[in-house]
Amino acid sequence: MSSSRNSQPSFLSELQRPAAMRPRAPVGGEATGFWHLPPRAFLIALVTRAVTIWAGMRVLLALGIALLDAGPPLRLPASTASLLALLAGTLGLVELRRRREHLLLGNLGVGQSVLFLTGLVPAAFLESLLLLARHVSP
Amino acid sequence: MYRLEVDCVTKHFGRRRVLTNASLRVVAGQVLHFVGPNGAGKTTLLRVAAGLLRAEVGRVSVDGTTVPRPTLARMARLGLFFMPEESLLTPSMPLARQLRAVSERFGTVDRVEVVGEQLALHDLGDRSPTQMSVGEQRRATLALAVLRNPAILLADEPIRGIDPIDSERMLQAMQELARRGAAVVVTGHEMGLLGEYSDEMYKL
Repeated sequence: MSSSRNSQPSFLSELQRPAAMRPRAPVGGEATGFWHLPPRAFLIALVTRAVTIWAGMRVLLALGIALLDAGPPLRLPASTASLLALLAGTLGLVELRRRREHLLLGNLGVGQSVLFLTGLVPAAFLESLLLLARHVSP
Repeated sequence: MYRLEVDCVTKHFGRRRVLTNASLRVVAGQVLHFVGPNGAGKTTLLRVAAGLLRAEVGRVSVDGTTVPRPTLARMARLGLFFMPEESLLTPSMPLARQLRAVSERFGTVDRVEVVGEQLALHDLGDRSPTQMSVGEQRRATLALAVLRNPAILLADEPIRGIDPIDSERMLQAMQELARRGAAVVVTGHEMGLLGEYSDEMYKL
């Protein structure tokens, strides 16, 4: 980057961090951090998307239950909640492939099973929270 | 010893045989170019090497060791980076964040500035890939590849439709990667330009 650009904020300014002092890895070198998980920025984006997908599915389901008058719209049996979490994981993976993001993450060593889990785990966690809240609340 | 060896690969798509006993061997520090007409099987061969396609016959080896059931993630853990013709960038994330994430993961943060300059990525940092031209996306994708610091780089037609100046920039960056010890395989149609930057050239 030319020095004349230094006065303007560029993507480099975001990268000037103490981490820049780390020694350079050899060619093909080991990753720093936990190798099989996506880098943090990607992981945050994936988890956010998983939560959005789960919330969208929950809203649709609640609307459907309310329209059919088939009971309390937010209360699901554990088996249905598990299915919902599985579906959220699958939809997360489908969306990832639709956006072709799996190619970059694959290039970073992140396998399909881990990508599926990034959709499944947040949904399963949120479903567990809802189940727990149902048992705790009077 | 070959850094990457794809041996006697045969691949069909339905009834159509795309590759018959095709092989690819590249050593560390070498830039190898594959040229050939559309439909010759260049992309298929690279995709088999990268673990994105499974060949009916043949094997893929890295540093002399056969990789069982290669997948992209498995090959990546062995140091391979596959650059497809289309963009690899995450559409919704600014380029700077993507470069930072990859460079932090692979300990190459100190190289970001050099790579940014080499590939003319000025002022693109806060842009998302959807706001970039095809040429900018290709250069940014190559920047990710370089910051990954791969032992093997497979680039599928990286300079197709790119202006000569940017094409040279990209080929120089790949040559530099080879100088640092990577094995680089590039496909394309641009025999003249590719020839200038290759150690070996094969026609498929």
